[in-house]
Amino acid sequence: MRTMLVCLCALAAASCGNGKAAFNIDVFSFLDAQKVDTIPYVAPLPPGVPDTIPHQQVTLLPVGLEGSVVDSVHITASLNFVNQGGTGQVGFSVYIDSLPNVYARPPAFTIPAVSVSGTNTSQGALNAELVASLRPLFARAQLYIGTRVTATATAPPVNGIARITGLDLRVVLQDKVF
Amino acid sequence: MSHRIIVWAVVLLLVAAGQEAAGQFSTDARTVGMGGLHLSRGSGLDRYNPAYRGMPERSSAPGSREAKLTIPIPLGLIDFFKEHPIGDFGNDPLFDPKNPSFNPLTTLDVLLRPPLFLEVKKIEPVENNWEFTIGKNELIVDLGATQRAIPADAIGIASTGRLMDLGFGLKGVRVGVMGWMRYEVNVEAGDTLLAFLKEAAPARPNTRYNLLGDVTAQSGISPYIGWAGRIAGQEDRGLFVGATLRYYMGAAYGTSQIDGGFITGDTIFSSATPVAPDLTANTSYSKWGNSLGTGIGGDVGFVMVSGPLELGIGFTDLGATLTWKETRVERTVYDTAADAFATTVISPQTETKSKLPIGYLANVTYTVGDVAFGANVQTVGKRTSLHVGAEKRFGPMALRGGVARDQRKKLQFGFGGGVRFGPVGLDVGFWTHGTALSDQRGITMATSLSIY
Repeated sequence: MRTMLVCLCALAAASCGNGKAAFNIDVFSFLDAQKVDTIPYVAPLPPGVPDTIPHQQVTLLPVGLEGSVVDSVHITASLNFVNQGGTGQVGFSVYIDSLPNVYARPPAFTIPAVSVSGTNTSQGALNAELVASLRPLFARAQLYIGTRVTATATAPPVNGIARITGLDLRVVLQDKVF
Repeated sequence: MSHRIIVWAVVLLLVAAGQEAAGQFSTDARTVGMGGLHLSRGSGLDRYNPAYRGMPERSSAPGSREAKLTIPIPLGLIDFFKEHPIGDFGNDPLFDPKNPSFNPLTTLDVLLRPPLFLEVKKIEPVENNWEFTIGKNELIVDLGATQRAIPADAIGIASTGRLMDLGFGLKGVRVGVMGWMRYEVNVEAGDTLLAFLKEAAPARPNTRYNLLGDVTAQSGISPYIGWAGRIAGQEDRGLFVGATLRYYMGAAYGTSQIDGGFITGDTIFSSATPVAPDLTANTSYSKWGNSLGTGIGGDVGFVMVSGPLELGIGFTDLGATLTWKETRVERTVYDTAADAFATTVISPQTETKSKLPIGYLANVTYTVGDVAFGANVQTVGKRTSLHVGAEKRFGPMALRGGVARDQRKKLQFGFGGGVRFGPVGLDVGFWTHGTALSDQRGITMATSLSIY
């Protein structure tokens, strides 16, 4: 695939076009393949129980476009919070970094906390632009993504499962192949 | 390694496909103004039609269109050096590979098409966006308008060059030696790769994506003896014939047929190395120092002059087949396990044959009063060019126009004029040109000085 994409870039550059490259990345497909599209939540969180998934490596463009300028990164996400008991608030955050230790940084995106109760399913959604300081990460050949579910109980204990149903990134950049 | 081969094959193809119509790029503004057509008997006609060697020169005739010397006036270089000061070449992204803005394709384009002349109408860059759709098991690439630049069929560049011609003549007989070289590169995308690039078809798991290519190059010299002269009629109303017998002596030869690409895995993005390179190349070559490749062939041509009408047709390298007695044959494959190319010698020394393709030039000129019309069709290697043009004189002034077909089979136009003061003429010519991505035409202005 690397060869294929290098060829594509050479083709496009050689064809004297003047434009932008847009990458529509189905991040959910990478999470789903690793069976990390669901995250249990519980509050209060017992010691030693993680509220995050293991970091996931996402391939962007295998050739890398370090010289390119990333114009925008847009995220669209949707989740179902399948509550199993209790009442509270549940939030969801997405972490992005060039290194595997993605949770060392503040989250890149956060879904505002959603109210959950009983055995109901609540929906959360996100439609946002990435801050400019993190955009250069998307000129790399690959990056790491993590997610965290944060639960706060008003009638403890609250527990359930956050199930990601869609997570898409749209990256638009001014390419610079050579 | 394999991806470099493919990338450069694709890049070379696109650069070659972007070239102007053969012959349209000329340093002579008169030729440019007629869409690349030469009306004179000079211009190397005798290289492709030996009958022209037996025809009288016309340069001494009053009002002759034959110039003894033509010097281009490179006005385009003024703009070029304004944008790229000579003293700053070291920091110029056009020439400094270490510069972050360096683009080898732009540099290659400048070398192949030196900016001698002014661009009076530039082609506006096309806004061309590409869309990549990426998932764990999904890759779709939509190249937008760039898809138009991807050839659906095999595409190639080829040339047969006659590099020098040293000899002498007496009474129509000419003896000499000519240097020659021949190269040909053909590349064709496999069906899967073509659909992926040209139709934005999704990449498929466990699928081979490949390019098929063949490359041939050979060069040498050919001692020759020929005769040209009039066999009927008079100088202004007669038939001229020329024939040359050549003994080809090839110094080096090589040919390679390559089938290279990669195979996707079970899942498109399953790992850090999701594809397996796959390449096979069959190569035959006879290197410099081996016994010469030898063969016999020749050229023949005819020119008929009937008053204002002149018709010519010439054929080159008829029957030119060379026999190479010390050819080494090898087979190269990409060894996935070793992550390296492995070469096996099929035969250390065997006899092979190569051919020089027949070239032809057909031309016609018709002169009536102050007006001269002309047209030619020339095939050299795989390249066929067509030019039609005319010149009208008004005393010391001249007006010119012409049309040519470019590599993309689009018509391009030339027009211009000139003024002549005794032995000195100043000419200007304009020609249109296009790119694969745009329907727009740009216009370049050429200027030159001719001494008659």
